[in-house]
Amino acid sequence: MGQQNYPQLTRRIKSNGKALNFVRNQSTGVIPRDELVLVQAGYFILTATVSSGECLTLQIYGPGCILGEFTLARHEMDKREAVCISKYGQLISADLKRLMDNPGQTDVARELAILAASRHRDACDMANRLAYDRLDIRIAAVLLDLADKFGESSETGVEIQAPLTHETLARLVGVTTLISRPNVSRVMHHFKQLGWIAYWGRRITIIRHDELRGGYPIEREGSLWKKH
Amino acid sequence: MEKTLTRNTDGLVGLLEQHDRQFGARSMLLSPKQSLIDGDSATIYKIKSGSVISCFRHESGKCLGLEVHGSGEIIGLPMLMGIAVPEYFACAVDKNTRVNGYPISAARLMIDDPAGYLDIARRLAEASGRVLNKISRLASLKIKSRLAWELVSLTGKFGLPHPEGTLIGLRVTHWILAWLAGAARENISGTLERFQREGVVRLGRYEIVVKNLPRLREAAHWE
Repeated sequence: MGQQNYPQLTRRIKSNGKALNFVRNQSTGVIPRDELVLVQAGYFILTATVSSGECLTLQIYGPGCILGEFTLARHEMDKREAVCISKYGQLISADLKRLMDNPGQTDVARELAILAASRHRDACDMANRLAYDRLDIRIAAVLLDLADKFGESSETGVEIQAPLTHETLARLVGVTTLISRPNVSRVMHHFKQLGWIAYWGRRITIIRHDELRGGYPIEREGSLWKKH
Repeated sequence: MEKTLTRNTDGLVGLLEQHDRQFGARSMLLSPKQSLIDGDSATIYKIKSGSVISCFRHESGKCLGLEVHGSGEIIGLPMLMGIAVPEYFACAVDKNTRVNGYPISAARLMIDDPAGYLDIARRLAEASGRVLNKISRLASLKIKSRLAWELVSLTGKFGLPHPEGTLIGLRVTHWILAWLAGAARENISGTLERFQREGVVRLGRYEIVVKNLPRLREAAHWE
């Protein structure tokens, strides 16, 4: 759950970093240059204010996840901050220079490069989906991804441990003024009616993985959008 | 990275020379198959001359152009770090695009120190930042603005002085612009013709002259 396979980097951040506690909706503020952050407890969303002034929600991070590789960019970078979405959360924050002070820094730097490559791939994937996938498919993809990262098996299916509101989900699938947020709730309701997911409060359970992965409810039903 | 890749290369100079290659327009440098990390056969490239577009292939077969790379830039870094990117591919934009290809195994040897890896991490962080800006445009701008944005960007990177304004110094085709804007080629052709009617650009065979850059910037919501 939330597993990230960066053992050296994780160990260095833990031994050199400073723990910071958060409550729901509390932000880290803009993460400074060359700062790496390990999520020790709770769940956080990462937002970015890009050069156009728009605020994007990029990813959810849970226990064990590392963020901050984006602060390595040399040019004027977009401003990113993490916001706690669980009741309580804890981050361990460490400066890159301190991590690189000791022997073994090649392993640390290599893991950091792998992390950056992995996040670059995620960003490309997000852009691709935003360009060509319909909203329902994007929502299904995000739910499956979160179930994969932060899911715990229960009697009914796989419960996503990260607390998620429809608002958060809407931002994760890139919903802005072009498509209104209620459309996300509509798709979620449709998935629920199909029996593919269940949700109450901020908890979402994936019941039918295969259908969600390969399903195109709008094409099948055809009338989902016309009804409203 | 350029510095890193040319360091400790005594044993690799011959190798690099051997991998000096030339590609024609639309030739594939990196195919989705190569991107699957096929051991030593995977390659990263440094562009010597010409230009290369890096893309992401959607499962539907449609492509999203990430960016157009020019001389001196390196493509394929995620693969160098062992991240499988089966959807990633890159192809030459210009005729006679010349590159140096580095087998990944050799490139790994060359960068195997903290500074080398940090350099790669920084480059990838910067590339991710550019992708984020694309995400922002895809989420909030219509096709006309996205196309205008790509034209302004290409003008900034590859622009050449021209009596009518600025010539985009690339073999520009509608499909390349469609990939970059994340739109269907037909829509891009229609929008380009509209720009031409409005006197913003002049379209030629494989070339675009930007006649009114401020107007294009305005259409792109360029800050």
